[in-house]
Amino acid sequence: MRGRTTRVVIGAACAALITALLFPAVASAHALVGRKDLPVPSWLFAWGASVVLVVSFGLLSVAWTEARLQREHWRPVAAWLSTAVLNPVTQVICGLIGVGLWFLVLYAGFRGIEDPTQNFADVFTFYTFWLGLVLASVLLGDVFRVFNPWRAIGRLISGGFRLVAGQSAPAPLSYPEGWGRWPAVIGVLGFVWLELIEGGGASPSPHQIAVATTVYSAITFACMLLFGADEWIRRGETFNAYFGMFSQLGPFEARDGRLGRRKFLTGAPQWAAVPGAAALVLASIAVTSFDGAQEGVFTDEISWTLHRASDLGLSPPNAFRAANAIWLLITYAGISGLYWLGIRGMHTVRGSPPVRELGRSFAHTLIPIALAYLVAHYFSAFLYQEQAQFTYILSDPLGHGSDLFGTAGGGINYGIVGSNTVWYVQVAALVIGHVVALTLAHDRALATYDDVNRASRSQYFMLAVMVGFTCFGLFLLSQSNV
Amino acid sequence: MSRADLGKYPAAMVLQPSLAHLGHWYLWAPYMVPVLVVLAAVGRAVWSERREERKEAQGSGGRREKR
Repeated sequence: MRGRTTRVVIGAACAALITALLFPAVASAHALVGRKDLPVPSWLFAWGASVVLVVSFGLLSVAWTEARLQREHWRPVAAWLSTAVLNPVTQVICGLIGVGLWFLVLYAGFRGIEDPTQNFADVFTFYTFWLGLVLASVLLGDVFRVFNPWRAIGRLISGGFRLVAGQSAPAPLSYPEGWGRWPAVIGVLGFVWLELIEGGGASPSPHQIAVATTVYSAITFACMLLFGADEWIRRGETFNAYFGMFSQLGPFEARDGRLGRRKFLTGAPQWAAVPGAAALVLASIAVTSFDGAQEGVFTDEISWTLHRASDLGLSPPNAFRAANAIWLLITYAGISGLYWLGIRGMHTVRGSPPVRELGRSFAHTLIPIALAYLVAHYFSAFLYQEQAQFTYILSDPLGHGSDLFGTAGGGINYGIVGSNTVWYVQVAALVIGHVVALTLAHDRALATYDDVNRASRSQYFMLAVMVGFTCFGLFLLSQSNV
Repeated sequence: MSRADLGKYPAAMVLQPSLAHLGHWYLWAPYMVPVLVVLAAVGRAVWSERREERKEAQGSGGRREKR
């Protein structure tokens, strides 16, 4: 029986290999323009990555027999370091920087030129802020919290209220427990709508970004009034939840006014015990996937849907928005479906908790995948755009021809990394991210099931999910730069 | 694609069915192979474990009956 299965698997693999090799000329029309000199076809990297995952799974099953990442072992760092980082003066300075940058986005958006590549609002919002803060959060902890402009303004106002009234402003409503991280899910989808869809195929204009920032700020201030400033920022504010999610992977966290250190990855398991946590991390994987697929794998599908929407009488811009919104939601549903299928599979193992609880308790294992997808998809774009950010946009944020720091003549060196290097970084990011995710899932399974065998058996399904995400990610990457 | 590109599509493309990449199956098929192999292995492992569990349950049930 075993021999027959092996023969079937080898036969299927050979058939696929031969099939792929039968169409090299046609396939090369879709190949990566800058990656023609890869030593092997790009799909072979997916095979290699899958082998790495399977081997990692085997090693974890044999060598990792007790849960090691479920407790944080948080320890405070030296008092002088904690004081230097977390003192009130630093907090005020960081808050002022955050508010200043927020104001600059609004000012550049409303008053700067409409060319997105020359305006501070676009480059800062979609690269320095959205991508740079993810990396900063993983390496340094939840840094966005201290730079959060809405938090700084909220604290200033509530501090003023306390000074005048002699007491804290009462919040009329308490934050509903069931909301959990769902407001952040809506916020992340809204942000990506602004980035990829609102502009109608081009980058959104600086004016659109300024309007969106104004609208988001108004909603945030209203919710802070309703639920309390600190409460809303801590639980409902989109960017605090989003960057905070990535900070759980890193070693630094502040608690009760003290900076501390913990083992890598040990913050993540506690993060997931809130409604909407799985939805948030799945949304962040889905939006990155959609960005990769929008001008690659889904191009034909989106254009077909767009024409159907036009037939229904929608104007071209609205047809574009409707078609892309549909495919964004399809991507989200597909990614979520894959995860919940894995959870359903795990649930078949004896001794499993209910499906919903199981899904929530394994949600944190997807955070490294979300990070890996971000690194893989935006690594090169981030390198290019940060050159713009710290040269000509730094000196001329409005695009009006100023040269504040003498760097306005700078530009982007697109040769800073080769296309092959980009590809290898993408593959490495995806493989490392998924191996880390597999490790987190295995560790959580050991804490969930009462014996090692059952825990390992439950992870068969997560292995399938991880291999699926890895191959899907590599396929998107191989097609997105066509 | 920009808004200006909307009118550039020929009528034939309008009639093109959705999921056009299904026609380009050879592009994604090699990426599906590892997924299918792992799924097959998982399915087989789960199936054989269930069969063993059933056998054990039947065996222990039979012993109880003899007693």
